[in-house]
Parts: sequence; structure tokens; C-alpha cells
Amino acid sequence: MNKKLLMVLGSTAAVAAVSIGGTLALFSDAKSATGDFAAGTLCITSERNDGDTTPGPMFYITAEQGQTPDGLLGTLPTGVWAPGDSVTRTLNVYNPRSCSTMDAWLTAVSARLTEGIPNQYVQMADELTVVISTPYGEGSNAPTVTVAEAPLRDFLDGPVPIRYPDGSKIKVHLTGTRQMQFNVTFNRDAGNEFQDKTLVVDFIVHAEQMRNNP
Amino acid sequence: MKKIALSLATVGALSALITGASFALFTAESDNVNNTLSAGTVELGEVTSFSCGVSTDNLAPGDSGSCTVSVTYVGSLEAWIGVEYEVDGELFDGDNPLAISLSGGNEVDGHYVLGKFSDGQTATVTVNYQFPIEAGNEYQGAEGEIDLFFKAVQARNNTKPDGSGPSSWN
Repeated sequence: MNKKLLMVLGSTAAVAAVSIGGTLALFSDAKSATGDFAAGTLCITSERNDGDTTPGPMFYITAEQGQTPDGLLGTLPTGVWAPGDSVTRTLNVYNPRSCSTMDAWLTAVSARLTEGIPNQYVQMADELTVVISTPYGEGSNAPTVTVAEAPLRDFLDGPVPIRYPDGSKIKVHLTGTRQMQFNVTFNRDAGNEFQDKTLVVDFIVHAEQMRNNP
Repeated sequence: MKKIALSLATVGALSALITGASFALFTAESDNVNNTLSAGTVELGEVTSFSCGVSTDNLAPGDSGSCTVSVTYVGSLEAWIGVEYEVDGELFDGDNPLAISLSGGNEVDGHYVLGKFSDGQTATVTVNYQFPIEAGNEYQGAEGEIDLFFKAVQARNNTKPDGSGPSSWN
């Protein structure tokens, strides 16, 4: 009796062992997925655009000063300035896919003294008024409106915000182009102390991402 | 307890990310360099001395004549040039003084304008004099002096609509 009981118990244990072993041998599979994350890039470029050779400065006195790195002379020299003179030049600002991946707001314009120029007459910045304008809206018939107006001195002191008159931001879509007109006026009341003086500056257009940045 | 601590840490990190996002937007710049703004010049060069053809230091009543004086313009900006004069001395006093007039330009708004000049050009004024025949012995040995003052002012943004002269001399 004892032997039979032992045999029954032994069979149960064997079945249990087989049952457990079966669980361990089920068909199975596993897969993984990899997500790639990459931050986009924002960059803008710019070029003067009044039918002139490019690249080069918007404002220059002589054709030589306005020449491109390849030596093509500038075709729109201003000549020397007299009090009361007012000159407008166009800067095309691009948001190119070659280096950018997102839409942008153009937020400000600043200026800095060009490096390596001796005898800069910085006081001249007080007598030069800069007015920046750009088309408001889409299409070729969009009116051009002023988005910033300040003495050049303000632009040298730091970025001057640019906004449409209604306060809205200025966009340049990815692959888009934004025409910005820079009008510079030499104060007619500037006195003789400015005769034969020179100021050389770089203009800098600032941009921010448009997405998540209303 | 550890799980709660982890959750709190995650919330903290997220809120830091959200707070930081407003200060860490992607930005970009583009430069247009080397914009040159140079003011020009308005400058008069050398003035010649009076050239009178005949001597003017032995005038007699009834004499008349003319002298010319020139100034070279050396400014880089086109300019209007005008001239004024002052006289001094007994020869210009009394009832029959030596009379002076200018030619070579035009009277515009009380200013004598010689014209509009560019760098390297010369402006010339003619000073005409006439000693009245009525002048008597009281003028014998009398002397006088005339001083000419040339002035220049930019023409651009400063020319009268009719083109006759500058809108302003200062």
C-alpha cells in the first residue's frame, strides 16, 4: 500500500514536472523598435539685392568698396554723403533648406562697427537714421511697411526689435525669402564736424524659431 | 516610496525643461558686413590775389575798371559758391565814393551767387569799380580797401526749386 501510494505520488510529480517544462518551451518572439530623435536647425543667410553683384555690402562709397570677394565691382555706389542724403538698399534674407529645417521669425536688427577699420567716427551714428521696412502680407502686391526706425547709434547699442505696425512678428518660412529695405538718412542738420568722416558697420539680422514661439 | 520619489524627480525635470524652453529657443543671425558711410566735403581751395589789369593805386575821378579774383573749389561734394564784400577807408566815404559792383554771378535772395561747382573747378568774380567824376579834392590821397569773402555750401539737398542757388547758406 505504501509502495502504491508512493508510485502514485511519483507519477503526479512527473506529470507536474512535464507540465512545468511545457510552459518553459512555448513558442515566443520579441521585437524592439528604435526611435531616432534629432533637433532641427535654424539658420538664415542674406544678400544685398538691388540688381547689384553679390555678395557684398549694401552701402558703399566706391565701386571698389562694394566689390564681391571675386572682384566684381559693386554697381550701386552711393558716393560720399551730404547732409540730407537718403539712400535705400535691399537685403534679401533667406531661410534656406541647406542649413535650416524650420520656419523662423525675424526678430531684430543690430549693427556693429566693422573690425579693422581705423579712424571710425562713431559720432556719425547719431546723425544717421535707419528705417527698415518689409512687405506686410503675402503676394507681390503686399504693401511695404516700416518695422523699425532708429538712429544707427541704437542699432550699435544692441538689437532693435522689428515688428509690423500692428505688433505682429515678421516671418520667413523655411525656403522662403524676406525682402528687407534699409533706408539710411544723413541728418540734414549735421554740421561741418562730420565733413570727411567715415563710419563702417555690419548689419545683423536676428531670427528665432517660429514653432512653439508664438 | 522610491517610485514616488522618482515621479517627483520626473515632474521636476519636465518643469525645468518647460521653464527653460522659453529661454532656449533656436536662434540664428545673418550679417551684411562692411557698409561704408562716408561724409563728403565742402571745401574752398586757394584764392588768387586781385588781378586788375591796370594799377588801382593812382585813381583819378572818372576812372573805372575791373579786377578779377578766383577761388578753386576742392570739395568732394558739388557746392554753390557765393561771395560777399566789405569796403573800408576814406575812398569809400563822402558824397562821391568809389563805387563797387560785382559781376560774374547773380544776386539771389540778397546773396551774390557765382554758381555751382565741382571738385577742381574755379569760381571767378569780377569786381567793378568806378570813381565818380564829381569827386573833388577831398579825395586826393584817399585810400580804401575791399575785402572779398567767398563762401560755399553743399548743393545736394540744398538747391532752390528754380535752380538759381542754394536754399540756405548755413
